Amino acid sequence: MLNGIIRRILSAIPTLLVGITLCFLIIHLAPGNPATRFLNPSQTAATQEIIRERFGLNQSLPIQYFHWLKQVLFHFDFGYSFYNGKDCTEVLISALGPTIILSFWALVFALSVGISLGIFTALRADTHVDRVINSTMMIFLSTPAFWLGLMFIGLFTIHLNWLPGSHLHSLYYDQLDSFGQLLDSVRHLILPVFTLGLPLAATVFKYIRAGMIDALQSDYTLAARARGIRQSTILWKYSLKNSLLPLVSLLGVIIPALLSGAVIVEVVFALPGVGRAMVTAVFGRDYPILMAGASLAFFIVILFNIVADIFYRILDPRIRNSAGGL
Amino acid sequence: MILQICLLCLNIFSLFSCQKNHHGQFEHSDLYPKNQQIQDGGTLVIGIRAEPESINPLFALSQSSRNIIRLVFSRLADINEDLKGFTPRLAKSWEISTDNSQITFHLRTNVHWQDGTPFTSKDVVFTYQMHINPVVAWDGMAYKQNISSVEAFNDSTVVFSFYENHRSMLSDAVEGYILPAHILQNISPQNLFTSDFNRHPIGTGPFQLNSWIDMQTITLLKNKRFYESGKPHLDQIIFRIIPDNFNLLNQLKAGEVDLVESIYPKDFQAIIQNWNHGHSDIRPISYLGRRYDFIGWNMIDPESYRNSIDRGESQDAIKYNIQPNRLFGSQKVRAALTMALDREAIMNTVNFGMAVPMNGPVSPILPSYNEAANIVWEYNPQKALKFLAEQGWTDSDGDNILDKNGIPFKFEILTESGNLLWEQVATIVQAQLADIGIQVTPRFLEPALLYGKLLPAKDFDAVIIGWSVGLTPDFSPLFHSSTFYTPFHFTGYYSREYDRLDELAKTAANDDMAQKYYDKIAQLLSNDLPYTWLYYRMECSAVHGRFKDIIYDRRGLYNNPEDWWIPLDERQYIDKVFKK
Repeated sequence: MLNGIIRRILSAIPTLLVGITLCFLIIHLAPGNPATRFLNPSQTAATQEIIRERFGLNQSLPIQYFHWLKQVLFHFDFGYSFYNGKDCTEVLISALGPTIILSFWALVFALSVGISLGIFTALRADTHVDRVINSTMMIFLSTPAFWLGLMFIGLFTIHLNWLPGSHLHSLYYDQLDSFGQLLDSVRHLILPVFTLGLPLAATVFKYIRAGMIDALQSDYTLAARARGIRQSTILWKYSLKNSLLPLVSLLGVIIPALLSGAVIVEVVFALPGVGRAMVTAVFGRDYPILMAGASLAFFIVILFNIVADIFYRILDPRIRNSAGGL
Repeated sequence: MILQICLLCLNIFSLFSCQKNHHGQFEHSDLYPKNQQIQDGGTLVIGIRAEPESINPLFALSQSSRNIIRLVFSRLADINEDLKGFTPRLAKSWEISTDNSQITFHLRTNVHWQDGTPFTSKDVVFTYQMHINPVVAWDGMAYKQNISSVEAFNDSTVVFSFYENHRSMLSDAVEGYILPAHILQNISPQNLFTSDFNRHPIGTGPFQLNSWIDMQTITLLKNKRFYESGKPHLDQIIFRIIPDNFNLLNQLKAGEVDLVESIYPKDFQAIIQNWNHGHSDIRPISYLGRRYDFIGWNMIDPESYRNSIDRGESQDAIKYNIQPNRLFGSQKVRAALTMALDREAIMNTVNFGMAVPMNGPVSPILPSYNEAANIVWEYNPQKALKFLAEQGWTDSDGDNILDKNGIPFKFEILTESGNLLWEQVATIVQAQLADIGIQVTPRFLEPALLYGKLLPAKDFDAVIIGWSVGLTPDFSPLFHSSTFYTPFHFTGYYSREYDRLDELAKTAANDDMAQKYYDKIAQLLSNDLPYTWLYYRMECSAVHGRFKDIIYDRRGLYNNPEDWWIPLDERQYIDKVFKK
């Protein structure tokens, strides 16, 4: 299996390089010029050239690309932001924390709600309760995150004044004791986590419910019942285990979806994450930040796909024992 | 669905209820009586949409950066409300030499940088060197073009020498915030853009940076070494970064944010109504700002311009030999298009009354503004059709579109995508010009494409955008032939008469002479119409009513932050919590 994992990792490297190269080309070949932001009516052509030189934009595209790649591969240096001159690696590292916190709790929320409701409704398939929950989850699945976020803010922040609608902390966070700080952070995270987690919970719910209904109607469940095995054992040991299997590969898709969902949620709730840094970079044509963010996104997507493949192999003996394997 | 219908109804209701123009009552600063006992302390929370790029005056471009810089740094002198005189700041006085070639500034001797280092004339000389250094590429470099040297006579005296005697010598000299030489001289100019100073500035202003949490907050504390004793009155100012407009306004309403600038006119109307009815402590404030919107007509033929450039023709040859635009090359056509537009309706619809008419190039906030000098093209579709007919544009084939020699009068009007106001203007212009048989296609483009490619290449028909103006009139980058190839001069306007008047206005010995030339410029440009000026916008801001003595006027909102204060009995939780 180890050979398979190594082979999988090695095959991911060209994918990563091709992806990053394509991203570099798309960003740099888009019409317009990042130096335009610095234009002012009294600026001379010489000054404009100095600004282009400051960002390396006076060089040809291949030279810009190879210079960037060399810096990244050999020095792990993504360059400086065109917008504020900050080190891109520092920008991403400081933004990664809030994104990980938000994504982690959204994932926990999505899995717990999705799995529990999926099982609950599968056991009551085609009842009124099942139809109500199913329809509600379909609404969350099809609702855009920004709209959901704004509705939550409208209801819980403005109307009911129960929860804060922006930022990671209150302004007076530093003045609170440890428990107060914890409570403050939790209160600030509830709405963003719900906004990001609900559509994902609906996705998980859909998979689990379908998987469970299939498993409950399968021959092996029937055989287990015939052997007199207890219903709870059948449910937890056989049906759930089998219906959870597709969830492993689904996680490989959910993680990137979390990242892209975080973009919207971070802007709506003013959270200082990678998504928001990327949005600012897109509007400001901040190529170095965009490239650093895109590289990180590619890396995460590929990494989680590999992890999902490995777990799938570990959990499913049919794949583990097949000749193809990883 | 029901909720969406309710929201739609609410929007429609607010649209109709906001037609009344209320702005007059918010144009003046609400100052407290002088004999009031001013109490120190309190916190001001300012909501901003975008994170400042830098708090280094050399690299600040955004409004939020400039606002923070105003609080952290000082100039030698600040311009007064009349836009003529100056109030001493780091300079306590100045004198102009008898031959008008030098200005000597006498600096305050009680000023310290926020790290405790004394401020001296060396800082002023160093700042000038940074301002003119091409590697730094400071965006105000043009102000220093007439300065030949800046020399320190002693620690508290500095002499500015000038090439020519201009009216703007003093304003040129004091333009730009003074930088700390003892910190920045150790950093090479090439590395300044990425230096740590940009996020950890040391200034001489009334407030100093305490913390900057990425994409969250920037906290400034009272500078206890500030040179004006007893000031500032507020303990701290927190800038809270809230990118979403809906969230920003809600935090303002909820009292989590005290001050928001540049509120959309529609949202501003709700703030006015709540304030007028006593439903809210949020005080609307508005004043004539710095921005105007216009339609820019491409007066030259894009293809002949492109071919000339490709052929490598000399710049003069291109300028003089270029073909006029097939549609907008004629002054009569531009005048007709201007008369076909009900600009007042456009102004009121998109700005909800928070704008004033504009008919010529001079901004109404400037002393040189004279409305009588402009030629006003009133809304008159019939006259517009007559003008167009004189130019050969008639509906000869009865398809309701004007045509000439078989070519229909069709064009694209570009604007910035995402700018809802300009997108609305484009749609209204499309509808109004359709009424006289002109087919307009609005096209909304990403800013980098619009400003970075199409406008500099003069590859467009017409464009709806806006400019932000300075406190001194300068139209050269837009209309003077010397700037014909620069990105801002995208209309291709060329007039020897304009060039002559522009140069005379700039070099006029006194304000009266300059006024004469500015009036002639206004008359010429409002007749030639390289732009159809649409309206001049009012700035809409709001601040919690507990903040007193905020002076706002045509210079902006941050004129006297060191004087802002909160009466003790109006203090709120946020004002007290930081006292722990």
